Amino acid sequence: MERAGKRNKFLIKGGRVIDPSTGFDDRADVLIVGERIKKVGKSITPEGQETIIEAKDKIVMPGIVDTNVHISEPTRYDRETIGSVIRSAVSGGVSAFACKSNQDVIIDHQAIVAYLLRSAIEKGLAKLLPVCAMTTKLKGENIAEIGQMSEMGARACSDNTHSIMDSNLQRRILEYAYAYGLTPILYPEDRYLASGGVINEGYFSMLTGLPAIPSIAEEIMVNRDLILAEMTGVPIHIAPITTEGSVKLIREAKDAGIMVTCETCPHYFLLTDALCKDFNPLYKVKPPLRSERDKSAIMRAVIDGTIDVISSDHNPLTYSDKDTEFLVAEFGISGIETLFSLSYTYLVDRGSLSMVELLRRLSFTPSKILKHSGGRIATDAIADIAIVDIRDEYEINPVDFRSRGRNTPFGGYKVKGRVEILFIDGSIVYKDGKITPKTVSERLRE
Amino acid sequence: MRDTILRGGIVLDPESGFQDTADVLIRGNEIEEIGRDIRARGAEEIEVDGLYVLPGLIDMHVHLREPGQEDKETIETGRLSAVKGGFTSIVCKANTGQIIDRPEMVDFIHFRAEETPGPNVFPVGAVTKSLKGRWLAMIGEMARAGVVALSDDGSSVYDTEMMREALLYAKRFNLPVISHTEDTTLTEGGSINAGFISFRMGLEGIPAESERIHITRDCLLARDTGAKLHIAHCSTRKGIEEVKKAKRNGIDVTVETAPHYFALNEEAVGDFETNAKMKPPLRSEDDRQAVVKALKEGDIDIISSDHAPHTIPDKDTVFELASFGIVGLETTLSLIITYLIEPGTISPLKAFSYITYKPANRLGLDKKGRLREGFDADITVIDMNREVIFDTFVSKGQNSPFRGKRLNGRAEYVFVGGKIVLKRGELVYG
Repeated sequence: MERAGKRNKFLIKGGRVIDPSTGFDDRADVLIVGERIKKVGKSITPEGQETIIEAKDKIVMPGIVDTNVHISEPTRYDRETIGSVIRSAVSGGVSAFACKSNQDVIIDHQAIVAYLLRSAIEKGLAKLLPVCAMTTKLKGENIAEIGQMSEMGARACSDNTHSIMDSNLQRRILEYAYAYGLTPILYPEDRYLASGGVINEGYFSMLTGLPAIPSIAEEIMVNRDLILAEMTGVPIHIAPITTEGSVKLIREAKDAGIMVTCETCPHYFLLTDALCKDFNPLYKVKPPLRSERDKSAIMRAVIDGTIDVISSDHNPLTYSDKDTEFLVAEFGISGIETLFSLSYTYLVDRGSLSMVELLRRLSFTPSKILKHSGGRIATDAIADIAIVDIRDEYEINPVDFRSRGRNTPFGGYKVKGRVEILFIDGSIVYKDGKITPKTVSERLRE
Repeated sequence: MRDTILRGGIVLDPESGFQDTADVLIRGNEIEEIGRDIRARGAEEIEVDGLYVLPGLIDMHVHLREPGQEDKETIETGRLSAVKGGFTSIVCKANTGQIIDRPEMVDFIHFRAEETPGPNVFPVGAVTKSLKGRWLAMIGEMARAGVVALSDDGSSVYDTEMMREALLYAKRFNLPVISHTEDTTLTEGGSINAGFISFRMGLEGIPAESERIHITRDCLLARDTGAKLHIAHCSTRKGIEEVKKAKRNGIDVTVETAPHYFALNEEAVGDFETNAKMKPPLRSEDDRQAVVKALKEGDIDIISSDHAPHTIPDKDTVFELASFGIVGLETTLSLIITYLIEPGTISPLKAFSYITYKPANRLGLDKKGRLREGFDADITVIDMNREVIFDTFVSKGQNSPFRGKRLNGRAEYVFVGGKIVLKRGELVYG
């Protein structure tokens, strides 16, 4: 295969290289030696041992870093396993992803962090960055062993969608997490207002008669969390935000110097609650799809940088989880494979955002939040590199997903931005639709 | 009843901005005439030379304790205390011994208040049954019985959905909801302002954010529902800023503060002085200055006493165990004069607007809060220069950090509905 001896050497020639860390966007060659990038420059002359990869008319960019991914191993292997999510990730150009707790896997103990890391390393391919829980069993009562989990390798902490209503507890968690250098990822939802809701409150909740979640449920919590961030001086990350009001609050907070970052997902700037009117459970997500007005506000905020990160909020589910009444269906979209192509097509291809800015939202800023070394194409950076063909359009087909969850409303969407090659740690792990994993023994030898 | 002429006083009507020497003729229970050299045959003349004649003062935040806690205060003693302090209308909160969460409780308050002459009492109904925050109280029935607002004051409606329902429901009856604004998870166990002093004294602190979080929450809910919101006892700079921002965004919100938040700061807690323990706690000097500035600039709408009488055993105990609250009906006027008007910070017209027409407007009190012909003859006459030192209060509660302090200004005459109830600073019985 592509690997030459102990130290891989690759020369990616003639591609359009994007480095979001410096804003570099120009034609250049990239030389990879071992796990790292040796050199980026115009016309690097090969020394003979390199495998040369012709990247003319293609984009050479850092691998995507997804800050919001959920798996279901070791309880619900039918929904998603570590193996399937990793294979799914590399197909979408994702070189590293944050693995959060959900109802199936609660990362509230160092043993679970160790399990996830070990399992991911065995599989090779994309890097799993564990995000530990803030409270035990996500109950919002007792603080989890954040310190121990941090030492075991957790990169951030989050109670996933179980927002913590107890302000004092949330404040103590912020202070505690800060001491260990973990970024607190806060889900903005007032649980009283959102309780039982499945759809955005508005015309379409009235039309369908479904219990609703008002946008104010999000804004109240965004506001509270911003106050706690200001109070404690701890930088926070709010994920995801979906309404016009939240955008306004975060913009004001940033102007006031509060250290806050936030993210959204492609479905919040592409879809609206109007799609729920036919009770199609594929459109059931949490937070719910919002109004047209919110959708365009989120789009604008992604473009102007108020929203720092785009994540997939990958929630893989089985067919039966979704093939049921809207009210009882599970929340979520399987999104890791479509994250880049949707973002590229609707933001860059339409001319709203530059490639550099897109990769700031998809790779550089997420890396900073997760204390990860990705997001750069520069000398000595880790060689997590994606080569993407942005010319030909293709159709998203959930059947082709490597994820076990095929629950996406984007099936049939025509997008651009197919990942052709993905390097992780200087090795090709994905090429032309095929995954080329290292074997366990190869990994262990390293 | 004989007509009464108040002769030669400086008449102040904060609503119209009128300030001039004039006579006021009271006929029956109405103000008949305001003007120079009024003549009326058989009228009783009261010389009020050099005194200020104001619309009857209104206190929209009083705890009368009856029914159920008559050892702390009764409606009768509370009303006498109000008269002594120059108030002609008081608004009593629902957290009495038995909660005012049903129409019959409202009727009870009204009956008790009509037994003797004295200030009008306007009850506030509870938002939730027994102030428990779980079920809405009988808001519609209470509205019919005559409550002027709804509030769970003393506790917060913690459940956001419940607060939203309450706002939506209150809107149908055009009643303002008064929010206590306390995030109880942040205040639990706390007894004074969180900061250097709480640290030094080893007392659990109450952070300013506890107030701010619920102010922003309730302002957002008010925007969402379109209901009328009133923020009670705002004590911090950030809290005031949040309300200001909400007003700019067109939210129907008003805010009040209490005299102790502009007269004192957290240092008044001194040597574990339980009479300086209240909720929200006395804040930092920076917050105090922010309150004064907001009153000067009109960012705060109302001053109310948050009169909270307690028995001596309630306060004569370990600091952490002592009850929250101080009496304020008798000191509010003097504190406004001493701390806001005398230093020249705020003009009398503006300062008195906070305890006259502004609360009347917010609560929709008909024909109150103004000195104008045809309005109710609720009048307070004040001597601004008279020195007072409070020794004991008419109220059953003696819990005040202002006892023994030298203050200026007191009420000399008070008329309620044309009847004189305070004469030369002394209560008139019968």
